[in-house]
Amino acid sequence: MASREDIFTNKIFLCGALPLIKTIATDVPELAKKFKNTHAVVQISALDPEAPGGKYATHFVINSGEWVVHADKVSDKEHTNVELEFKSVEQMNAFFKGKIGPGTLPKMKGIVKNGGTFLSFMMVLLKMSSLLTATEAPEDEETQKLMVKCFFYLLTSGISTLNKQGHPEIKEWTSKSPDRVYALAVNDHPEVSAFLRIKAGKSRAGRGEYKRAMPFFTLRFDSFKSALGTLLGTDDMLDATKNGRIIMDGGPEFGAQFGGFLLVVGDYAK
Amino acid sequence: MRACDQLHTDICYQKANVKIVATHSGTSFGQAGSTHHALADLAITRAMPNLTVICPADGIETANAVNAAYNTEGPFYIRINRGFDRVLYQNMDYGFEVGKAVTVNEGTDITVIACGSCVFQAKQAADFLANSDGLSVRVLDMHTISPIDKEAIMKAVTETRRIITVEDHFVTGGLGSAVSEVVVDGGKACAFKMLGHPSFAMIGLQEDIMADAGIDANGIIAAVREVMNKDFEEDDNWDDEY
Repeated sequence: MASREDIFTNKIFLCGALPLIKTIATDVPELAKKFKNTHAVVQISALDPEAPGGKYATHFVINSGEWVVHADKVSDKEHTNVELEFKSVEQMNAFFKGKIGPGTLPKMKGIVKNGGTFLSFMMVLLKMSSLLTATEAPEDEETQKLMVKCFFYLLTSGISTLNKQGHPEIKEWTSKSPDRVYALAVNDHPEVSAFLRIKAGKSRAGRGEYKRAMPFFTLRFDSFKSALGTLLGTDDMLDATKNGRIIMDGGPEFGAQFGGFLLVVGDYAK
Repeated sequence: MRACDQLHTDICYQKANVKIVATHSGTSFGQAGSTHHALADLAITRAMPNLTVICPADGIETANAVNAAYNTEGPFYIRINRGFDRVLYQNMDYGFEVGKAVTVNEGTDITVIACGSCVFQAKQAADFLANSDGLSVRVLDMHTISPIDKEAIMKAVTETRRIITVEDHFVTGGLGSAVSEVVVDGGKACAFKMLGHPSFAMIGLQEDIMADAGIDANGIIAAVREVMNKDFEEDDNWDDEY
């Protein structure tokens, strides 16, 4: 049986990291091309005796390049074309934390019949891994942009996921909050924005800009490079704030609170 | 209403360059009794075409309003109290412009739109709520009731989605009504509450009357807390987006 911390980590992967496969597969033209004629259901799962149905999973429904993500949902067995099935939650966590070896490799189902889909899917998975494990910002702006977008999505989804899973500190924070939106943004690039709406214990992670009201707090960066400097921990936050690479739209005390929870997600997904 | 004919016909209809400064407005002469409370003047004057209606927040703003009236052709109605208003502005250079609200406090949770002596109360309430409840309350000094600053109102609707109006005036016909007309015309939903006198006010000092009507800082604090617990628009989709 997985520990509570293992479950939190696993939910971050299922609901925060794995959904980025869709973002990468649709945003990178050479990868998008590979799914143009694909009609398949691909699932990543981890067996757990405590899970309803015996496993936790996220699955993707791909239809002619259109992706639908079903995070933390097990697909119908008959309709699953490709599946990467880990023996346990701990094994899946270890694999996605980079501990790849014979003990952590998943069982690969359906790869004989759907070799093409499997290979294309693995290429996206590898791309995601290279983006999320990078220690320095890439040189070209398109990759920087994709990386920032992925981090923004991962962090906002991660906080919302932990809230829904009852993470004590995050749950306490959302429970006491009125209807508020916290956003992550890069100047002049609304397409990478992400937000987190919280209210009385409820939360929702969203893509793009929140349109219904002005965010209560926005952590804004002046460029992709500045964003990656902070996200990868290669830039000094105080210096970045002083020199306008980080702009806090809202009360700094709320920024510190929000930033603290971003770090919590980062620690689980490290 | 026959007495209003002079204003209606001789001044507004003619666009005469007449400046009216009305003192003892609202409940500022509260102890004189209900017969001496001017609580319907904004409703009457803002209905008059061509008339610029200003309700300054304090002495400094009154000076700005008088300057603006002097320098602008056409009829003006400036509504002031008895000179005992709390001081909101420290100098003349805070950006006073006829028809443009002054943002006294930045905020994103809710907007309190006030005029006259209620602006100081709203600012006090905003400061208190920031410390006690961690709420971010925008306060607009809507000194010009007519023509009203539609842009600032719609910005508040879009950005904070909750609005409270506060005035030392009957709740109908004055600032709250003027703001609500803009909101309805704008076609965007928001939570909305109007604070003012529901009927003739009691006899007493202005501070007591304002507390009784809920238009002092404590009344505004209570109203903000009430509105913050309301949904400004039905949106109960809490599914994360992937």
